[in-house]
Amino acid sequence: MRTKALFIALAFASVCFAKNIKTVVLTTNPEMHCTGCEKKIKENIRFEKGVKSIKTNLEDKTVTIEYDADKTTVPAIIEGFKKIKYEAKEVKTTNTKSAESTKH
Amino acid sequence: MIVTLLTVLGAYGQSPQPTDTIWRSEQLQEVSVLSKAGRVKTKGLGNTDFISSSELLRAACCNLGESFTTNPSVDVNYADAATGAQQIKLLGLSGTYVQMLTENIPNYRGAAAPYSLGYIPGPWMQSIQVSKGASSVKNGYESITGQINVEFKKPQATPFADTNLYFNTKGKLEANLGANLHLTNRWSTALLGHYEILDKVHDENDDGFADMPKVRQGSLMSRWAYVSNNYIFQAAIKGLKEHRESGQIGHHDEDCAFHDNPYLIDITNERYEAFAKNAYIFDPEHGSNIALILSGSLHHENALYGKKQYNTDQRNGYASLLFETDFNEHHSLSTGISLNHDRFDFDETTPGVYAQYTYKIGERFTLMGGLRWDHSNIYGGFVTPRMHLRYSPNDIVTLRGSIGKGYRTNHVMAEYNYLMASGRVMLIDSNLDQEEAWNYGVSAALNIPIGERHLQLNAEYYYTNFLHQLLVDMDSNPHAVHFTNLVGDSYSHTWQVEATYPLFEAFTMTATYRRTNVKSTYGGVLREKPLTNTYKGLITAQYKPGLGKWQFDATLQLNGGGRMPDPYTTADGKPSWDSRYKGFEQLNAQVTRFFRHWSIYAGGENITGRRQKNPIIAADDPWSMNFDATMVWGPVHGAIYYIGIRLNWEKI
Repeated sequence: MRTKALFIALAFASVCFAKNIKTVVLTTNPEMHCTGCEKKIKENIRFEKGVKSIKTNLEDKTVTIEYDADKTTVPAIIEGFKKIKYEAKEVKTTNTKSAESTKH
Repeated sequence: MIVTLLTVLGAYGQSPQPTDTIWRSEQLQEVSVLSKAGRVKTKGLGNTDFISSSELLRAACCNLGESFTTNPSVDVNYADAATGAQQIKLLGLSGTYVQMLTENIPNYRGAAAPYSLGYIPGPWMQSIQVSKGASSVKNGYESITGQINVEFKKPQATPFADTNLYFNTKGKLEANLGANLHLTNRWSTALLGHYEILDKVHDENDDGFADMPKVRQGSLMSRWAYVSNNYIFQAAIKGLKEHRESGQIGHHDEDCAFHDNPYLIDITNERYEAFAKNAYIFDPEHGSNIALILSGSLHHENALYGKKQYNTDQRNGYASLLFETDFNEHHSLSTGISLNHDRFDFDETTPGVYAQYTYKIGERFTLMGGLRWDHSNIYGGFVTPRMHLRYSPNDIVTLRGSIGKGYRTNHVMAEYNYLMASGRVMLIDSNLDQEEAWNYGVSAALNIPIGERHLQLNAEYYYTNFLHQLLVDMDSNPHAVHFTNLVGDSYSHTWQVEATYPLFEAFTMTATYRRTNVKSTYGGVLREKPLTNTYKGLITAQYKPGLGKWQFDATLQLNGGGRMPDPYTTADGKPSWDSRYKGFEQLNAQVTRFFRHWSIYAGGENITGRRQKNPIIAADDPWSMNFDATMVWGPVHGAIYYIGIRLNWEKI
């Protein structure tokens, strides 16, 4: 009985704390062409609500952002780029856990 | 080209963000593009630590002195237990042998030396460069053990406005503000302000003396810049006023024996500085330019130590005209003339001329030789040769070597007046030499890739040998301090190894160990230099997980013991102090939370509370010759906890 209750509690907790983490890949205009641009993006976008991690790639000029889909959306993140005078464009979005492509 | 010249003039034209920094070590003619924040070894010719503004956020860094908390090379100690004067040591030798520069102009000489580490507020600084060993001959002959250059926040940087408020458990309150404004696309201006107050008296060891002085200090700096394609102008004016009160100021109850006649220390400093730099680029292709640098300062000090008084008015004027050109990618030349004038306890005028040649093969090999000749109206003509070598056969190994001479004129009372906080008689010989020393240094830096990370190793050895030196002899007579010419040997050997490695994601650790062997000849006997730590170990760790919104920093210093000046014998037949002091630790830690336009930080200094228990000798009898507040080897106060807030705005 006690084990069953514990199991139910754990299941309930895991549902409560489960996060809907997604990953979006963006390109920017103007394009990132130096470490200064990378830093500017990282320094500012990290304070956007729901953003969990930011990875930049100077070679293909993309920004990969992990975010909590319960707290923010891709358009809200793109809006964050506007604050630092970058126009961001979505390349693709994936659900991090299932890695299932959910291109909009 | 513009960027290069901006850097030559110390105007780096950068935003406050350290990753945008393009730093050209003016002294050593190398360009390094730094992509990392924090403290990094520069890729240039000299063995130089570049301390960026982000490194300065690792501790409270209220002022320049506190900025070296996380630096393994520079030691900061209290000069005495009463005035709060701090002094640095580099290569185990006094800070007077380090040439202090602000914006690459010599500064804080003479009367400003004892308190200069408190004259540069931390939030004003954009970066600090600490160069060990011989320097370039461009900035004069004075550097012996190295150079420390401070770059302030720039008018021409990305428009910013920031403020910093700090409060600690000793009751010290600090406020700083800074902002710049682009007036036109060429003219810009910046204003930097600072105020600090410590109005409470603490006496942790109940010796009747304040552990730290009451301090009120205010300073203001106005900067201007004009930047066009071929002409760059920068100017600044700074004013500072400071009042320090210390001594038996904490107890005024009837039970105290010194109620009627307390020993008081009262020091007022007023300082005004101005500089102007002009540079004209006439051949951008070869980097050919002419620059004129002008600077001046007025320093007025009124110091009272009990019944001893010292007042001084120091005036300094400095001018330097430089010409630089790159003949081709391998050969470049820098040459110029300079004039320095000091007017206070005695007047000295020193015109000089220099030439410096650099031979470079890509990024692999650089050889630089410089020679300057100066003529002092007191000491006559003298020659300063210096040479640097850098060889980097691959991306992993960089070897450096340097050799050079340096000279110094002593202004004993101006530079050592804090020693008046004792019953010692000050004996100053009348025929003091100009100090003269050779410095030799070698270092090896390794950048070893281990997986995706890099292990950075640095090993170095420096030897400084004095030919002429001002000997501060506190040994021959424990009731006197004798300033006299060195007769015999005086040298410093320093070995240092350092390793930096990101042990895991977001966690970086640096460990350093240094040994120093500093000896001078006192009364005909070669002895260990007193109040000098024999070793130093330093471990710094930083953890900045995830998006870097939280930052955790800790620094542990292990300071080796050392020799004390010879003691006298007290009435009960015991020595007035032990002949040696033991090693001691210092632990600092700080946590910072960053937000988009502000951050909050809290931390502790000297968390283990280690302090020298009775730093003031004969504190109960301050009017006797036994009294001595200068026998200081360690912290004079216990743990200090602090909290602060920074607000920052930068134009996107």
